[in-house]
Amino acid sequence: MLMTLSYLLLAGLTNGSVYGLIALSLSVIYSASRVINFAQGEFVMLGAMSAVLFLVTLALPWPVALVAVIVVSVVVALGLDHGIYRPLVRRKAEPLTIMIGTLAGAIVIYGSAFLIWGPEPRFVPPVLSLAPIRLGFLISNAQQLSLIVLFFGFLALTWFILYRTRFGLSVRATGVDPKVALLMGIRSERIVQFTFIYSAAMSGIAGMMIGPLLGAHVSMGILITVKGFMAAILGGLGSPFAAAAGGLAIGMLEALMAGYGTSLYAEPAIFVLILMVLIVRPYGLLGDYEAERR
Amino acid sequence: MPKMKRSAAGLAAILAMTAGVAAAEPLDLVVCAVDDRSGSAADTGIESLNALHMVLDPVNAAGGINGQDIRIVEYDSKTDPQLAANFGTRCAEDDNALLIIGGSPSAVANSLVTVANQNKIPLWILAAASPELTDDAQYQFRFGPKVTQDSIAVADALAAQGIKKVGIINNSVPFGISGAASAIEALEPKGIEITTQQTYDVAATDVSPQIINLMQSEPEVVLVYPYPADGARVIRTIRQMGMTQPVIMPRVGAMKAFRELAADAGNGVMIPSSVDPSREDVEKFFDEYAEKFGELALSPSPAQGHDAGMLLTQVLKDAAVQEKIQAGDLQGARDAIVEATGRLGNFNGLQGQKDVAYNFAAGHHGPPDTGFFVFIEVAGNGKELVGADISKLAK
Repeated sequence: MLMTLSYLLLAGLTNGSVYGLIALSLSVIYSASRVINFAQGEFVMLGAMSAVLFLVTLALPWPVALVAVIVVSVVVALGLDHGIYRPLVRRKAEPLTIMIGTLAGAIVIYGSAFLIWGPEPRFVPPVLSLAPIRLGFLISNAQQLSLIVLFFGFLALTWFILYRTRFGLSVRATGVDPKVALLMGIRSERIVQFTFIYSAAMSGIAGMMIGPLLGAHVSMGILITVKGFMAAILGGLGSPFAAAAGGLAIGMLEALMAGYGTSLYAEPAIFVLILMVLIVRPYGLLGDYEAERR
Repeated sequence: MPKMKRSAAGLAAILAMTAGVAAAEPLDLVVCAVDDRSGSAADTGIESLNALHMVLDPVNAAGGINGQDIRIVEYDSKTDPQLAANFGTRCAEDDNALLIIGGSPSAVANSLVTVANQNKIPLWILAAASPELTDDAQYQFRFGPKVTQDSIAVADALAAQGIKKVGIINNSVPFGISGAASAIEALEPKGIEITTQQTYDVAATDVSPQIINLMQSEPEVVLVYPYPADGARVIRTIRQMGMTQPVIMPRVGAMKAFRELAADAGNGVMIPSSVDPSREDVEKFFDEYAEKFGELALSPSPAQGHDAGMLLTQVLKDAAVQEKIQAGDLQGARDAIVEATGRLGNFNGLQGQKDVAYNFAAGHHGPPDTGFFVFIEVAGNGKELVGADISKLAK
């Protein structure tokens, strides 16, 4: 009984960390720009697929491959910022229009990846060992556990940047009101650019670490985006930490439903739950900050 | 008026003579190969076409059939049912093909079935697994087994080994759900208890909740219906959590992508296969294939292409078919091919157990329901597929 529950909680934490990472990256961009980046999951895909390129095709050592994956993610994020976000913002496009723009960006990234890597799933070599590790009576592996570490690591880094640096104060100010922030001498476009780059790097690294477990394929981005988006909505899109907590909540719910019920109905059940939460708390479970901002 | 009548009679005579001349012209032996040679199912289409050429090229080199070469018109359907339908129609209407061979993904095969029935042209389906493709079939025949036949083979093997308890784990997409459903349908009548059926999301990084339930249900054998990437994750978690039960993974277990992703965890995974690696003729054929096209793990697609080629040469030599071909009667030739396929289609090909024949007779139009499968298993850390000893299931 205790063993089963412990396994379910560990699995919930692992899966929740993946969803939480995507929700965190979605929310960081949203906090600064009020735009949901529908291309965010594609950065996970890019991380996984380019890890195949650097680790397998070019046989680079993993630290070098990691840097290369980050570079690829950042370059594509800059493309998204300069190619879609800035032109639309400068033409005073509504946030909804910009979101559709990011969706178009997602399709372009997917299409380009399809042309480069084709439709077949690819093997991503694990950075850490897949050999079983015993944690008391629980068994996991280093690659899986690294996802939890990565999630809490990025959570701490994001908190530090946002709440312990002057730059973070600028990011938060831009999120509250970009025009006032601009009047205060904050270069809003640069701030939003930073969030695109930071989120892309986070997702790219996540892709490199998830790849050995999920396998890499060019259509993996959309699945990840949906889960990350669900998590962000459940937790509260306006706060990166609430969105990340939403990821953990969904991971836990999925695991408990799989353990004590069936996974077949987990997704519809989670959507019903999100709906119920949003009826009671329209800005998400932990969306007080967003509610106050409005 | 009499002048007009004379003109009309003269025109009719000319038309009749022209028609007579055209009818006397024998038909070209044109066969369309519409299949995926790019896209997600490219391997199946390329491998079966290679094997088709391995059979037909020597026939043509030796003078063809009654002095005529068999000409293959190739179309790449790119896993696009609409494109496949367009190519199929072109085959029937513009290329004047005698028959169409192809359709490896079920969606592509399904669109070709519509073309075949609308244009009354025979269709020989290769790898597609959907059971409905040959239900109440008139013009279409299949070389690849239905997915339900895999389940029958698994149920027969488990019952023969005295297995009483089976656990099933499948992904939540249609392939996983329908695969598990067909397995339950085949296992329960044999008195085999399903200890649990676990379903997981293909995007879940950690499937241990499902594996815990699977483990606690204490099955003797585990049946898995995944896609390649999540299949690797499931088998790795099964082994990581110390489950030592035999694992059967229909179809996906043989796929290169699964074997690569699962690596050493995939060793020992069993797959019901329509190709028997212990047959000498199968081994010889795959050696020849490797010489011409490069190394290939045991796969049903080349065997299906080979068997289609073998039957094609027999059907085109058939007297009733030749009569219509020589008379230039295209629809007559197509109808004769349908009839000859049913009549000559009980033959031993490279698929199936030794001495087990296809059954293309009316009402069946495909591989037999029993005796067609053997079991193979993954070996060499995913690099090989070898014959499996199914008595291991009982241990």
